[in-house]
Amino acid sequence: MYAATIVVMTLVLLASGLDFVSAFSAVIACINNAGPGLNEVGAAGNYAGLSNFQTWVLVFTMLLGRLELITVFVLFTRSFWRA
Amino acid sequence: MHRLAPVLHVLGLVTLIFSFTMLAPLLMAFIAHDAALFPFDESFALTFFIGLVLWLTGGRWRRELKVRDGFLLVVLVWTSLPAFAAIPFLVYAPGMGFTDAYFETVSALTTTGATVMSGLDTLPPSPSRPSS
Repeated sequence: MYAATIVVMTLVLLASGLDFVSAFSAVIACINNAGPGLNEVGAAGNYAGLSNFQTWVLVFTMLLGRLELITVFVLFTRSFWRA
Repeated sequence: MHRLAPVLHVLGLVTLIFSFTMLAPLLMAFIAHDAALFPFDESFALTFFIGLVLWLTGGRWRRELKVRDGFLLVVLVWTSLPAFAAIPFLVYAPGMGFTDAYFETVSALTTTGATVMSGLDTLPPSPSRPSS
């Protein structure tokens, strides 16, 4: 699930027009709550160059990483909301 | 509403407690006499007020939280606290936009440390200390 999340988030960032190294390292950095990634989001630059959509994707990724995935994903299952 | 009210009650209490963390940068701004006194002043008041309202209104349906409520509460806390923490950014730097301010505070609260700001050294001391 962890790997799948990384792959999906990277694909979303790639689809939004980020290059592969930036997208992949940004997702890794965010899901591990590690900080700077490589290339565009690397130590020399920062996340300011990203579009609003890309920023929101990474915000979600950081929350997923901090809450260990399950806590967030369980809210998106139908059985959770059934009384 | 009756199912969510106890969760909101606890969320209000957490928000209320969280508002006190803004007193530290407020004190720092006061000592350093920098330009960030007003943003923290205002954010503290707003966060405190919203937390208080949630806490008091939710108290009418108070009950023991179940495991299910716990999941919801945790996610709500982790999504709403950054929003409150973003208020000083929005007041202090209106050009920043909510997306960037929210990213900054989520990054701070999850200890990611990723930033969208440059030239941090030139900022007054207190805004760089709100939640990092």
